[in-house]
Amino acid sequence: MTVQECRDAFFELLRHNVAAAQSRVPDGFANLGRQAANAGLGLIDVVQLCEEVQARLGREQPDLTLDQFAKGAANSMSETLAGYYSVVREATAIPPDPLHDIARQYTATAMSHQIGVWDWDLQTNDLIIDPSLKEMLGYQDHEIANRLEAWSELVHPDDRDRTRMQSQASLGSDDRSFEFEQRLLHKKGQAFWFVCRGRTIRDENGVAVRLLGTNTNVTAARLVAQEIREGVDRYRALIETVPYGIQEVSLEWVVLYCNSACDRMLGYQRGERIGRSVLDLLPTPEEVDVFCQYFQVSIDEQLPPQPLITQHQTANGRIFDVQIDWDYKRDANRDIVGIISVTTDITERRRYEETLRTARDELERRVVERTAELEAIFDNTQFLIAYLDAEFNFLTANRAWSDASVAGTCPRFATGQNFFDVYPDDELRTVFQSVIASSEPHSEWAKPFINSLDAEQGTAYWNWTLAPVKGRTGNVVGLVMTLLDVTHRVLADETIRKSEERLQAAQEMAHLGNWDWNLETSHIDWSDEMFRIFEVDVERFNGSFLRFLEVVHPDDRKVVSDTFANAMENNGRYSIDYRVVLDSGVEKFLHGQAQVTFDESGKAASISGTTQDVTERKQAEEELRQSESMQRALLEAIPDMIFRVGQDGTLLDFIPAADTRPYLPPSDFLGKKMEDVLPHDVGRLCAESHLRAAETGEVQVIEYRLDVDGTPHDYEARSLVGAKDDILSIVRDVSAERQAEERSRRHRDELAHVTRLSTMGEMATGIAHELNQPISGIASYAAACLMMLESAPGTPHAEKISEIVGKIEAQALRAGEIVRRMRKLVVRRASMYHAVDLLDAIREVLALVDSDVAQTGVEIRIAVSDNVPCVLADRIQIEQVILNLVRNAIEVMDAARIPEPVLEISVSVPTDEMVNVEVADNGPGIASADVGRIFEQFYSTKNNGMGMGLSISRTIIEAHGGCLYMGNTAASGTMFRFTLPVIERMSM
Amino acid sequence: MTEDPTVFVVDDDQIIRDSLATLLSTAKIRTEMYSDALEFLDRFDPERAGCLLLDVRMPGMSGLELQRHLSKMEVPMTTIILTGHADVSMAVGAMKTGAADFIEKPFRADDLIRRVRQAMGQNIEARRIWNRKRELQGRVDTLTPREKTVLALIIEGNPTKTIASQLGTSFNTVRNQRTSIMRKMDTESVVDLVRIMTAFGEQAEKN
Repeated sequence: MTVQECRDAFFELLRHNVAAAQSRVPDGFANLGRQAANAGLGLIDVVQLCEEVQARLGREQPDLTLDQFAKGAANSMSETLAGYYSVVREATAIPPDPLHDIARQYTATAMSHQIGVWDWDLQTNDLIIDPSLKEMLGYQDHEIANRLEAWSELVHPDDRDRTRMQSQASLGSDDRSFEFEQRLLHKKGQAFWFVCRGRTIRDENGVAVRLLGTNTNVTAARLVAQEIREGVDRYRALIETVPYGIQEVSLEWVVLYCNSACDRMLGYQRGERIGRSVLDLLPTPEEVDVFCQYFQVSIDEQLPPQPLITQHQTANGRIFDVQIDWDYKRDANRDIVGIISVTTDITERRRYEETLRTARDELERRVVERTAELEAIFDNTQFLIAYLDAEFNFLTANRAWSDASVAGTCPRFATGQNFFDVYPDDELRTVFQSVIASSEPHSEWAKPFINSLDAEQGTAYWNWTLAPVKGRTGNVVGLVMTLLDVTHRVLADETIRKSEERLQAAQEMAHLGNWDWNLETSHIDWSDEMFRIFEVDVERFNGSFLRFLEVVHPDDRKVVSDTFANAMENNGRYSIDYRVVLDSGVEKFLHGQAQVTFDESGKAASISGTTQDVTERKQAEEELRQSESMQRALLEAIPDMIFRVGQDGTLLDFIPAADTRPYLPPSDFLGKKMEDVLPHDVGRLCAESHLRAAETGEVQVIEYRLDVDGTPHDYEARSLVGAKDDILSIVRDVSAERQAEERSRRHRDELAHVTRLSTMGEMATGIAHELNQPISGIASYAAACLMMLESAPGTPHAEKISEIVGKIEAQALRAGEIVRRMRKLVVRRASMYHAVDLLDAIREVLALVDSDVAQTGVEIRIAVSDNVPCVLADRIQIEQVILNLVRNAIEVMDAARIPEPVLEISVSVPTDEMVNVEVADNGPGIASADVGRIFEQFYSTKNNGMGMGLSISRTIIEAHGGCLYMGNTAASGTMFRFTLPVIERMSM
Repeated sequence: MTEDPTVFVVDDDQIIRDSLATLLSTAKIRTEMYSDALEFLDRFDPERAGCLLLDVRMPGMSGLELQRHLSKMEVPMTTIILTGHADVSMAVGAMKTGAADFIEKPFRADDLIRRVRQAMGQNIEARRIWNRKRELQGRVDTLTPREKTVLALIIEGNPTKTIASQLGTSFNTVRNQRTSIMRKMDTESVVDLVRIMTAFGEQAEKN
């Protein structure tokens, strides 16, 4: 659309609008405005043509009423501009600039009826003024008279003359209309510009009878125009002052305009380049071609303008780089008529660009590096990192996370998945939401996670942090979630805690406390056990060295403080035993160890140590020491010597015995070999025994005899393997025992011998006795016969009979002699009477029958009264008697198979003169038939007994002046009793 | 006691008893036989003079025990131990228990008879002395306690005057007491009295 077309269209619309007396035609003017905008008409053009159209209408239709005209005109303008403006805004979307603001104001002004009409009747001089005009000037209708004078008052004093002249001119001329500008004064005093337009109404004579017109408040428009002018001026100034070179070039490459910056840039005088070819600027022909081609193509194809980088040369011939920003210059028909360009010396820019590029490359390189680093960190950190958006959707995770989720120790997500779809946890969601709301990170330590999908995994522990990521505006756009597996640390902590607990417990059990003393701050730290040891309350703890010394035992104080001072100065550590006396009075033994830490200057900085309550141990040690010394004393007191002999026979060690002397003094045999110090056969015996002990591991017992100081001693040696494969030999002097054994053996032999002898003797006696009776009888009878024959000599053959009987008597006596001699042959050992302790004799006898007792299982009971005196007796003979009785009893009980045979021997003192000995058994007893005969010789109830025992026993007892007889026992069994005369009382 | 002294034989052997009986009766010696000691103790009369022939070896109570019993009696008994076996210890033991003698079987008859006669003679003598003692004792028993005291003093050789002053009595009292004593004791002179009492005292000591 051209301007003319627009003008015409507008006119038509206005005319129609006014004629139709409608206040507005829907969208008509607006459309027109839009069309105008789309046609590229300028805003000023539109405003101008609107005014032109309105004036034209006024001229061509004089019969329009003012009212009609006014309304239509006002609305038309505003709506047109509104339409125009709307398109402009749409097309460019640029924020309103001052020009548009002014246009808007203008529009507003127009829409608020800024046109007033007037009607001047030349004949009456009535000037009817549109109330809206009055209103524009701040007056109410009645305030201004509708008279010329009143109107004249409104005109600005400076414009009155011109107004009058104009009016007169229009009256006088043939022109039917006029237009001029004037200022009218507002009630408040401000001057507003109006365009006064009118037309002259003439009568048939051509005399002006009426003037009719509008006053349009163009203050805003004038302002706009002024602004525009100023703007244009500014624009021009801007053009001239900008540092860019601005040129306008025709299609023939002729420079039509060139601002001063351009001239300066190119080194030309002002205006020198006008009319010259722009191609002069291009340094090389090739560039000229490029330049021309580029623009030509653009023009031909109506391409959108793109900046061109090329080179120019100055008037001096210096070549430099330029950027050309250009646009088409179009005429009113929108045809391209030229190029307007902004040329910028980009040399600096190039440099900057180079630097920038270098920097950018560097930056890129660094970014790449950094990214690689970050990626390396991101993917190789042990932290599990995930990035979520603000709706908790999963965006990305690092490798550690995906590895862990594969292993099942953390939730597995996929990009885009919502966190809480996979891991529903309302509490956690609340936390996430609060992080977003507060923009504050949230972290938790050692949160347990149990994989609900795989219960076998057990409980893992995580430190997790949720940090908000803020966007440029400061609101939270995402979340970074970091997890760190601290399972093992938790477990380790647990282990440490348990270990510390155990340490505590161990300290408690061992009564061991530890302490730290910072010498600089004088602060002392005590473990729990320390408080227990010193019986101090934690709250009342007032640790100081002096206080400590106070509880140390007075006798130990000096040692303790000296040791301490020494450690502080010299070696830095100490170990000391000391006593403390606590407030409660309790005394304890303590063992303390400490280490001093020195600073760089060598001064003591801190001390840490342990203190142990060793009271119990000390007591135990004391007891042990006492026990050991007792043991030692015991060992030395025992009569056995102990030798330690090496495997090669070297005598290594010797523990002496109390009453026994070794073969040689220790200094003579220690360190030497056995074979060198002992007699050959003894040495060999010992060596063999040691060898056997080493081989079998069993105790070997040997006996040997050595002469010590000329006296033979018998030794019993027990050898066994000791520690370190040495042989321990325990040697006892058994000489006395051996001798006693020898005596005992001889005693027994003697007893046996005597028994045998006495048996024989008794037999002999028995026989003798038996023989003597008849022999005695024969002798007596013979003697009696002889005597009777003597007293009766007349008896026939008295002499012969006497002779024969005498022979009988003689033979009888001879027989008796023989018997006597025979008895003498079996000599009974001479009785040796001395003091005999019956209990000893009994014991001796029991020793002899030990094996019989063991075999038959007889229980022996001995009952001896107090103060049994010794008896005067032959010991061997008494033992014979006891032996006989005991043996009889045992044999009887065994033969009768008594289940629990008991043999009771009792010794009592019934009177001062005699001692009673009773031997009783619980056997079958003696049959009444045998009772009278048991003491007879050759009478026995035993199958193979000789029957001598009891008679011999009786003989012996009687010889001692005692009696042997059988008594009764309460239970069944037999009891024999014999008595012996007491020796004069002697104390044993 | 006009009876002849008797030999009491205690022996469990029948042959011995018989042979002894035969022998002794042939020697005109009166005998009585016992086969065991308890029987003897039951039956014998201590007033009878004589001697015992005891066999050592007897069941029940042995000869030595019987001997001990007898030695405890007041009446003097004289015993001869018979034994089939003899040794010094037995002999000593027998003598210690108070036996008068000790004979070993077989014995010579004349030896036995001689010893038996000797023993019997001993016994008679012993009895006579013992009876005398008994009689004297009986007489002494008739003395009043005072008289016994005076008697003792007289025997010591104290004159009447001394006795009187020692006892705190008068001369006459003592003299009267002396007369009473001599009458009761059946002596005529102080000398006799002293002699009798002395012998009695010795006897008493012996016993």
